[in-house]
Amino acid sequence: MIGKVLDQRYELVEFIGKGGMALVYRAEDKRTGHQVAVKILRPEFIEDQEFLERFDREAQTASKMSHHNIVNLLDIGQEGDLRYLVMEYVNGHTLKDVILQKGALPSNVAAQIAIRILSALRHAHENGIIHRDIKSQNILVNHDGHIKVSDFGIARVAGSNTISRTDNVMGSVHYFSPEQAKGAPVTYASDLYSVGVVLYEMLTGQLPFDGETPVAIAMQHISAQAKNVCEINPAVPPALARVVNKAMDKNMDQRYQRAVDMAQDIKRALEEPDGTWLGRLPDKAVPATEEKHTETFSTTTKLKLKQEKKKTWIKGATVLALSLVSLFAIVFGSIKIYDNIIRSTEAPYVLDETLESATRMIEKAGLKIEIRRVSDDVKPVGTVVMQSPEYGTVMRKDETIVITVSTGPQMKEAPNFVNMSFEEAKTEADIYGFILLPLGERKLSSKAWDTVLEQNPPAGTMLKSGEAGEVIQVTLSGGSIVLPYLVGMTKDEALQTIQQLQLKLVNLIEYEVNDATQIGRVAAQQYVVYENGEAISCQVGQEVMQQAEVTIAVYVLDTTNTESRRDVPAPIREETAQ
Amino acid sequence: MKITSRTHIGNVRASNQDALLLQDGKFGLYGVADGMGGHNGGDIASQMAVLMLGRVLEGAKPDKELLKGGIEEVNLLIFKEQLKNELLSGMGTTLTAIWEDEEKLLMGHVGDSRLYLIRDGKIEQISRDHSMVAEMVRNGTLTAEEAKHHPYRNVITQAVGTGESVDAEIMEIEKKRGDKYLICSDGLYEYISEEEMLKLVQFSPADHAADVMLEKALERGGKDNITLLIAEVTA
Repeated sequence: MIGKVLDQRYELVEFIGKGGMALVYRAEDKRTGHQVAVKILRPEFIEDQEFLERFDREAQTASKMSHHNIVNLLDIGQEGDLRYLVMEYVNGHTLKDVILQKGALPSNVAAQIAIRILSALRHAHENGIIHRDIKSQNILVNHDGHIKVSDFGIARVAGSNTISRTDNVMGSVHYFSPEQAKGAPVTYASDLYSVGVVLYEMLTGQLPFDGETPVAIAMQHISAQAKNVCEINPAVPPALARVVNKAMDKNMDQRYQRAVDMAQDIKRALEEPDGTWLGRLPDKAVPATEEKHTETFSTTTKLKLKQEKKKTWIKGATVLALSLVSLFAIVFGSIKIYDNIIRSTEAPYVLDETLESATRMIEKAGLKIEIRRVSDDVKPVGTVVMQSPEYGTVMRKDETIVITVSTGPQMKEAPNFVNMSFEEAKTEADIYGFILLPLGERKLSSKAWDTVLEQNPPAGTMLKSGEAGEVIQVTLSGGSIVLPYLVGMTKDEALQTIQQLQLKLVNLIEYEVNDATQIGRVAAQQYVVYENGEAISCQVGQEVMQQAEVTIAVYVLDTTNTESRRDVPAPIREETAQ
Repeated sequence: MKITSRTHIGNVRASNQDALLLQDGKFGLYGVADGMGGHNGGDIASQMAVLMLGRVLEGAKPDKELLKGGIEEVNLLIFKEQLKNELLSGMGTTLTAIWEDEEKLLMGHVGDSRLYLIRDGKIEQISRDHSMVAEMVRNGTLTAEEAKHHPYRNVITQAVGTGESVDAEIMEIEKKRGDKYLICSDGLYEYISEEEMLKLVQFSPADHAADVMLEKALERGGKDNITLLIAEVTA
C-alpha cells in the first residue's frame, strides 16, 4: 500500500494505525503538499453492508462539522475496492499518552485543554451530534499544543461480538456516564460527564473509577462516589474540583446541560479559585469500595512512547503551556473543508404520527421506511411509538428509517379465522403479532383446500399480541373428493381426471398384454391416503382429502411374446376384482 | 437424540461466521460456535473450534474434566494460530456444546451463545451468558429489560481462542425422555423471545420450529448470522 496514490492525489506514505473497521495511513496531498490522514475501510468489509453503512455514517457526521478543535474531514473517495476518508493529520500524541507520561497536568493547562474540548463539543451539539465516546485516547494534542477531538460519528459497538478485554472497550468504559453504563439513551449531558472524567484525569493523573473488568468500572459510574479531586491533588483550585463534581453528577439533570456553561465555569474557576460562587459544596468523598483507587492503568492503553520521544515531549510541553496560557493567541492553520460532499437529509420527527402520515413524512425526506410492530397499552393502534435513528439524525438519502408501530394493547381478542383461507388468516394474524400454527393433520371437508376449519383458542379469547404474540393453532381443510373408477379409461383420460381431482400420481406401472383393444387403457388403480403418518389404502367411491396418492397400471403391448416374463409386475388386483 | 439444525448468513453480513458441531455416534456431541474478529478470522475460529472439539473428544465417554480440558485445548490451538498469522489476530469464538451418554448430558460453554432446556412446558436458559451486560444483570446493576437494549450487549467477557486460558462453564443435566434442547447463537435470540421458542419447540415438529424461528429472525432484521440446533431426547 505504501507508495500507492489514490485518485492521483493522496500518496500513502506511512502506516499509522488500525481500527476495527479501517486502516489509517499518513499521506501526502499532492495538490497542496499537506500531510493528511487517509482512513481506508478494510477491503474485506467492502461487501459488508453493515460496515459500509457505519463507514458512511462516520463520513456524514464528520462532513457536518468544521471546527478547529475537531479532526476535520477533508475529502472522501473510492478507488476500485478502496473506500476512504481523508482527514486532517495531527502530528502529536493522544491526551492519554500525555497524562501517562507526565502525570497530573498543571490546573491552568488542564483547564485550557478542557475548554477546547468543550468548544469542539459545543459545535457538535449545535449540529445535533453527540460524540458518545469522549475519552483521553480520543483527544489529540499536536506539537504546537493544538487540541483536536477525534472519532466523531463512529458506531461505538459493532453488531458482532467484541471481547471486553480489548483496550477499546476498557478505555471507553472508564469515561462512561451512568446512563451509558445502564444502556439508557445518551444526551449532550452524557458527553459533558465524560469531559468531567477527562478533566478529573488531567487534574489528578488518575481515573475516578478503575477496576479489573469493565463491569466493575461501569458499576462504579452508576453508584460509587469518586474521591474528591482536591484530596488527590491539593494544588487544584477548589472551584475547579466543584466543576468536575457538577459535570460528573450521577443525575443527568444536575449536570451542565450545555458545553458553553461548563466552559464558562472553568474559566471563572481560574479567576475565582475558592469556588464559593459555584452553588453546591463539593461532595465529601466516600469511597464505596476499598480497592477502587488502588489500581490505575492496569488494563488501559499501554504507554507506547519510547524513551527518545520524551525529549520531544518536554519541548512540546513548553510550547503547549505557552500557547495555552495565551488563550486567544493561537493562530489556526487554514484548513479547507469540503462540506456538503454528501447528499444528506435529516430524520423527521414521526413519533405519535399515524403510520400513513409517518410514511409520507419519511418519503418526503427522501428516506426509505421499514416498519416493525409492537404492542403498546397506551399508544393507539397504528401510531408510531419508536423511530430509529432519532429525530434530527443526519442521514444519506435512500437510507432506511425504522419505525415501530403500535399494535394496540398487549392483550387482544383472537380474531375469527374460521372459513378464511390460511393465507388470509396469516395476514390477519400478523397484524396483531399472533403466530398462526397449522396442525400437521388436515381434515376432510367440503370447504376448499387450506380453509381454516377450527381454531384454538377460539375467536374472542383474550391473548397476548405484538412482540410476545401467542400461538393460535388452526386446523386446515384437506378438501374432499370421491375416488374415481379409472379402469377402462384411456391413459390420457385417466391422467386428466387425476389432475382435475388433485390426486398425486406416485407411480405408473405398465402391464403387458397381447390384446390390441386393451392397449393404452387403465388396467388397475390403487389409492393411498396418509393418516398420522401411516399409509392406508382406499377404495373407489370413498370420500377422501385432496392429494391422495394414486398408482395406476396401464396395458401396453407385450413385445416379447413370451408368456412368462419374470420382470412383468404382478397386476394390481383389488380394484379390478370388484 | 434427534438433531435438527439450521444456519444462515442473515440479511447483512458478508460471511457466515457461525459454525455447527454435529458429531453423531455412541456419544453424540453437538453445538454452536459464533466466531468473531475481523478479516476471515471469525469463520476460521468457529470452524476450528467445532472441528477440533469433535476431534479431541471423539470416542471418549462424556466426562466433565475431559470436556473442560478439551475446550482448553481447543482454546490454546486457536490462540496459537492467531499468534502465527497476523491476518487472524483478534479472532475468537463462542462455543456452546452438549455431549451425551445414556443417562446424562454435559454442557460445555464459553461466551454468549445459549443452551435452553424445554421440559415440562417450561423453557430454561441453562448457560450463563459470559457478557458484560449479563454480569451486570446478575449483580443487580441492570434489569433484564435494560440489558436487552444495552449498546454493549455484544461485549463478551470471554471467548475461545482470544487468550491463553479460558474458563469453560461445565454442567451436568439428567437425561429425560421428551426433553428438548435448543442451542443458538445471538443472531437468533436477539429476535426470538423465550416464550416464542417455547411455543414453537414444544408443540411443533423440530423441522417446522426451526424453520419458523429462522424465518422470523430474518424477517425481524437478521443483522447477524443465525444458527440454531434442536436436540430431542427420544429414548
